[in-house]
Amino acid sequence: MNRELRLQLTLSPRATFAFIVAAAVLAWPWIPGVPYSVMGDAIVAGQYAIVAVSLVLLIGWVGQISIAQAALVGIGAYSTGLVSRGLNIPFPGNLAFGAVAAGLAAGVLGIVALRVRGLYLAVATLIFSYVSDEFLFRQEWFAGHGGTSVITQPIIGKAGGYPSFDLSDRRILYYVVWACAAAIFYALANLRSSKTGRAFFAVRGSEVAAASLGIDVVRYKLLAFVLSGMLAGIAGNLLIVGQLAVTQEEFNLTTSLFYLSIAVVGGLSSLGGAAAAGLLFAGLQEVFFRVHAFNGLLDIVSAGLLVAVLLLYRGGLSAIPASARRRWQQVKGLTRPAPVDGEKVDLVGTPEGSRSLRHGGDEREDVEAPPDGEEAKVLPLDPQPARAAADMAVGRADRPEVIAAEGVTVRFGGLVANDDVSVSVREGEIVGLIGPNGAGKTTFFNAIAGLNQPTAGAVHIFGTDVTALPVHERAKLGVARTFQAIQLFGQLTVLENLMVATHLQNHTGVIRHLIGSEGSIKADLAARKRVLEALELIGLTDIAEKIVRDLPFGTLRMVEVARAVVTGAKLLMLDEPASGLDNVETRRLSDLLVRLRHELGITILVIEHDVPFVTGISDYMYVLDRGRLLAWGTPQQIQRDEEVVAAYLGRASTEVVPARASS
Amino acid sequence: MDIIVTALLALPLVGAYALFALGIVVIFQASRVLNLAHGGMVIVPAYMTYALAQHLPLALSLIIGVGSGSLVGLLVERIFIRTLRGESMTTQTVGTVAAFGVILALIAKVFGTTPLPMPSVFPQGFVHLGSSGIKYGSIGLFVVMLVLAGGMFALFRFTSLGLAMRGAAQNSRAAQLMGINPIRTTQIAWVLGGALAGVAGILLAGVTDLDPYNLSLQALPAFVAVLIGGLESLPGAVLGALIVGGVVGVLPGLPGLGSIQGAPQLMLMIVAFVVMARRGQRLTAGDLRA
Repeated sequence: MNRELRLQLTLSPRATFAFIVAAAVLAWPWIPGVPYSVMGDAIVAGQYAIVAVSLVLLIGWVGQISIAQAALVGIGAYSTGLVSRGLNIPFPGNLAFGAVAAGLAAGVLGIVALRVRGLYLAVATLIFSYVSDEFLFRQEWFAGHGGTSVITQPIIGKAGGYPSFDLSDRRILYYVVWACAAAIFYALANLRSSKTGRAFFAVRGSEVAAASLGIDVVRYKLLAFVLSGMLAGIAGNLLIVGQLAVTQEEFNLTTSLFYLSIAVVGGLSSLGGAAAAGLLFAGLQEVFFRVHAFNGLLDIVSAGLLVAVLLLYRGGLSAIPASARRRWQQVKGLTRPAPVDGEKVDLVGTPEGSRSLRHGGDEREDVEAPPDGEEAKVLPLDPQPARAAADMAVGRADRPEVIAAEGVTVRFGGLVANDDVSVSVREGEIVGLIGPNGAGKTTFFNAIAGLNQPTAGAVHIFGTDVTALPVHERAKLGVARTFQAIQLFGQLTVLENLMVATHLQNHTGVIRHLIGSEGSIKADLAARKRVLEALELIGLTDIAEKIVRDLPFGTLRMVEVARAVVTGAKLLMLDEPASGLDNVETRRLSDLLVRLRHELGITILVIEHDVPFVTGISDYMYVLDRGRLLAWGTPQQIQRDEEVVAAYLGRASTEVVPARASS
Repeated sequence: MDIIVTALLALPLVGAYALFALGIVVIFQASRVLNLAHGGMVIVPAYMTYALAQHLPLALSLIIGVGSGSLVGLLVERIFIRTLRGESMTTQTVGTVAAFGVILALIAKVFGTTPLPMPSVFPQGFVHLGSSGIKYGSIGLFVVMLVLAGGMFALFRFTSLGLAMRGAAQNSRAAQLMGINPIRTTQIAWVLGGALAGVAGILLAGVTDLDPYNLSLQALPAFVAVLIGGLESLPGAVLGALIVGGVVGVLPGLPGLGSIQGAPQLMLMIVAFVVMARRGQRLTAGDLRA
């Protein structure tokens, strides 16, 4: 930040406001007459805020659910007690132990729980919470006698010496807790805008798409579990340091549900919302404790708030400012387009392949090209004007093989979806794989992409045997793909979607992302530059800042191709890229693919239904029918092949030809 | 001999877990959610029966109690599941957790958290086996489970309602074209799930104690049972319950383990994690289908 800018900031009303707020936050405990209990509430609010952001990270950002957060807080607290008593390690030294112990526990939980993706995660965490409560927190060596762990009065520095801070003074404790909270918020804000944060959002949006961009999905989920656990552990440490003792009832399932309420009421995706919810719930707790008639109702109210936010206003506290601003502008007669309403957003990311991104049927059915009046030909195999250099096919044996699939057989139970399919894609080629519906195109494509395990045969990409390699490892070889049912990250902008794709070029680590190091920022700037270049190349610069789920389908196809290009892949695999596109859009896509090949030297494998589209751009083609290779050759050869004609006209040809002929 | 006696002590657990698991499977089939509010559908009928039995005949209390389980099921489906349909799986799961939280908080507020003595549906007393005995209620719970499980199989296999429910679960739109109302079949699934949970909750509380946390958390082993048996299979659910009930019920009774506090829970976690760890982590084409 240069000096002029800094000067400008200090003079701006916003900065003045921030300064006043900061001063008030620091100074209020010293105002005479402030009740001691209010300071206690402020401390509790800080602890709640830390637990809430631990859930924001895990649920809001990565889409992984945990109902064991209280247990992790407990592990942090008891571990702190253990090292304080046993090893005589005082605060702040024991903070590290609390954080590491809870992080480790969360990691162990994650290793197991992440194997059962999705549905069972909540159950696994619930069981973990149950066992912590019934078993671990009742072990005397760990949790003290009767589940009560006591520590001696924590003092930073030498007691009575200078400087020394007695943490049993609530003012000091208030500063310590909120300093921890501020540091955590700062680190998480850095993380959110870094490579790690983008990988988190990608995992939340679509695991398959994330993996196809080179993100090791399991590793990032585990990282989220460990980080979230460490934050919970820090909260636990602050809890025992503040209270001098903890008991096992503080960490049972009810508390976990209470923490979940705080996080959801805060909005589950924003850090500010979590802090606000921490304050709100600390306040509620005080009120329900003070007002006699309300005693024992806090659990009901917190569960009720959770339900209310979930069902009525999913953005939670974090959505209030935007809603209020919009309402104010409505009142003043100003209208604003594209509301991001707290009532409408999902709690976390849109589901994988969400409806808003879908077009036509689901993945299992091949989506047919829209009927096309003008080109209603019986056998639509004519080359198109956008035809690429046909002479590429000459001498193809001389170029190195990019994909070498040999004898790929994929069986699903008794069904042979692919039977001994051998396909070769050579450097710089556009290769088309066509076939009638149910021919096994997508199965074969997934075998190359790593989503199907071939029963027999081998796949080499760039000379490496990838037959047993997981999806994200294949991406590292320089492969990118698009999906028939578009798998963009619906809640992110076009720019952010493409930024995710720079994952493999960015070599900075998570520690740097947390502290927001210069290297991390530089890497982001480089990534941004690369993304902007790609947007320029593909002609999407205008919509860079648009949220993906608001865009029309044809544009999304182009965005997905752009995302694949940004990875820097030398091999692009497109799964039915023209399905759902109209004539103009299909033409634009053809032109783009040919340009990508010419200008960037990218090799392309296209699986398609739209035969004219494929013959128009391909140098070489393969035809699949009923799981077997029926024919291969140049587009001209394929068009003359009688068996291919028969396959499309005769037996299994209910899809392409009649649809066109009837229109 | 001791081993057999210990094994028999697991009978009520197997019975209860199987009934919970059957409900979880039926509900999953209909709504495609793992119903974490199942524990709520367990405790409401138990407490309802407890409260009514103070004033009404036990049989009547029992019927109303089981009915209250079905009602809770219907409400959860209507308020949470249908509202959150189409949201991400995480949001739906948070929804069922929220439902559970509300039910748990309400019950704890109304009835307190001290264990209460639940009236037993079956005669008090023991079948004596050597030095120890097994409660009539435990045997009764197991037998009731066998009967109800058999009834569920018959319902799904042989009746047109069962066929309609299976059809709607497979393909709601196609079923609709066949004149099946998928909302109806879904509601029936929740009614059945709630009733099964209610029966099991009432009978299980009769042989243990009535306590909101422990009783509702008895639904957890049933999730592990379903994980073993598969979300698609009723016999699988019963088989899974047999395994989980056996491990959780029998092993802590063995010498050496019995003295450890929380041994059953620890056993449950070990079983759950072993089963989970056997699952693959690899992404497959199936992950594309949301």
